Amino acid sequence: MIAVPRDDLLRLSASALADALSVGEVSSVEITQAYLDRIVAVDGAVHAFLHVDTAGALAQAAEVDRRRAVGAAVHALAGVPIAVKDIVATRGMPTTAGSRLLEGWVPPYDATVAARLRTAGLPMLGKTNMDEFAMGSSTEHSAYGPTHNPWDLERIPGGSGGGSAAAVAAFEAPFAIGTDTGGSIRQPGAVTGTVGVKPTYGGVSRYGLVALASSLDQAGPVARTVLDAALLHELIGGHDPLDSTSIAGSPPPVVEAARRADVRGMRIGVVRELGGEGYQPGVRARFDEAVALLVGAGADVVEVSCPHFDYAFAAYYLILPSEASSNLARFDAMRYGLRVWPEHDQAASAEEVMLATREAGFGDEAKRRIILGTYALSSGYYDAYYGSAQKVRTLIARDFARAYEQADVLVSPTAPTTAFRLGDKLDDPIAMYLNDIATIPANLAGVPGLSVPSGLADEDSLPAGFQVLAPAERDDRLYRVGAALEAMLHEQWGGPLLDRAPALEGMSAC
Amino acid sequence: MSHPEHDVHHLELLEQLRSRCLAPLDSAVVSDPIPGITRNDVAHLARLARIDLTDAELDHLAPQLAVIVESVTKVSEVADADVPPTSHPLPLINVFRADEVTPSLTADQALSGAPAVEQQRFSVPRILGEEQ
Repeated sequence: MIAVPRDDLLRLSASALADALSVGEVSSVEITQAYLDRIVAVDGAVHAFLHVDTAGALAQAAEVDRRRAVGAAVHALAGVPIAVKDIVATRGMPTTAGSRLLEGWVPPYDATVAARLRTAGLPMLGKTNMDEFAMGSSTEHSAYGPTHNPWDLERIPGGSGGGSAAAVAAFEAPFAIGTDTGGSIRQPGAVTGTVGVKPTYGGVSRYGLVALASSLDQAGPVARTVLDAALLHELIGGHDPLDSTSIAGSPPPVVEAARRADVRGMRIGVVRELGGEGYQPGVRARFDEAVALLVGAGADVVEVSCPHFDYAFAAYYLILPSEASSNLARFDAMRYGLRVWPEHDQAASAEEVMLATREAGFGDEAKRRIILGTYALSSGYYDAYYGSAQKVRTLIARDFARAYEQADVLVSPTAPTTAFRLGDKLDDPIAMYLNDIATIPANLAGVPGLSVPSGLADEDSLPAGFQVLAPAERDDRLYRVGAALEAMLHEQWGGPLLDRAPALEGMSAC
Repeated sequence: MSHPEHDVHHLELLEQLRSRCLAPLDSAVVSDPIPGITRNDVAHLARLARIDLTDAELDHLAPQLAVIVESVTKVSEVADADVPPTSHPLPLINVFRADEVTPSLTADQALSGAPAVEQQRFSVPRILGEEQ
């Protein structure tokens, strides 16, 4: 007997699903099957998933149902299915990071994030599409083809975590795991009308994530509501002895903050450098309205200046390629991943095999960034490029510190524009990189950031995002502001923004 | 469905962002001017990075890399000598763990993704060249 109609199951928040599961209104198998059916129905058109684990997800769901049936204590989210970005190592499930180099690789171990999901009993629906090794802002750099934005299938879903964001926006998963190195959770959130959070650096374990830039990478939640993001954040966050950069001590009270949803007396700083010229008028209009709502709810607004944020982009595109060129050196064709022999040379040396493998295995964007990083780190140029970029990083951290003396949180549009058309910026690297202009400073300074939908831009009726940034380890503030704004906007709209997205029914044949 | 007016608008926005956040091209803001990255430089760097780029890729990537490299020289405008570098967002401390034996991957698990295996070992191409 199903107490909740199936279509409603897909529309319910993860939090509501958890409640329904806990009182026995619905089983995890029913929920998981509903999502798997939805994936079959729409993912041909959306292409959010690189791998769907039908049998594994249903087995995990059945196990949770069995545990609940015998009255065993289970996690509050037990039985709520989830999608996982394909950069997270998952034991027994392929993990490609969107690259040919790792095609078919099945990790023999779980990332800590994956292990926590399993232990808590969240059925893993599958692995989501992404730009190769998380390098990109559109998922067009995936070796397995792009993901399409559920709002307009001709447009990009953002990146690198476009698969996770699109899966959640298209109701193919209640929530998902993403990773954010320069905006890869927040920018896809903005352009798909979903919620995305980059926790404080070190707030969520990096153990078992395919590394892009180790001083910037951070895993976090992708969701349809701020509370769902908080529930997932709480589950995956906290200290992990397997990650030496993991923050010790108790994680911030994010769920409590999301439930509180109260901004009275909070000082909200509008960052002058993250707005204005270069930002789409419709994106700016929704941002200004959101700020006005927060003022109406009792927040104080101040304008703050972070003059070095205009240098963040340049610093990021030196630091990221430098770290990436070093991290990706591990793909040497020896112990795992692709091995390609040079043509007609079965006696080739290890070095020659490495040259041929990396030529065949990496896509254009990975090659661009590896070569750029190799250049920035080469002797003679190191001080001018990598060294200068590290100094800019200090200046950006100082700007944040000064801004947080005047404000409890900082706010800006998440991305300068709404979703652009697939193909538009594919071969103009700098045009692509500029999508992350507002999200990059947080990664350089290690502070947490959240994107919550602010509405549809007037020009194109596509979603825009509102970004909230907080001091390190004060992730709870993101959720207070995000949840307060979300509640006011839902009231204004008469429901969630995603209610206005196309239904995508019967699109599997596309 | 196409919106030509909207596309023009996007390009304008892009130019505004470029001028705010990137060094103007052909500027010489680096005190020790670095000659633009050439096709030969890219070929050399690709060799160092162990990527066997084709001629077509060199033609395609070299000009793009030259533009990116020139654009990011903007960092040198503010990177004064008295600014300390930051390598990591949060202060790093050394982390120790107890010296205890814990379960780890079995040999079969460790070898499970290997391109080639022989006698429970990773099988790799020869390491030394002909003349070595």
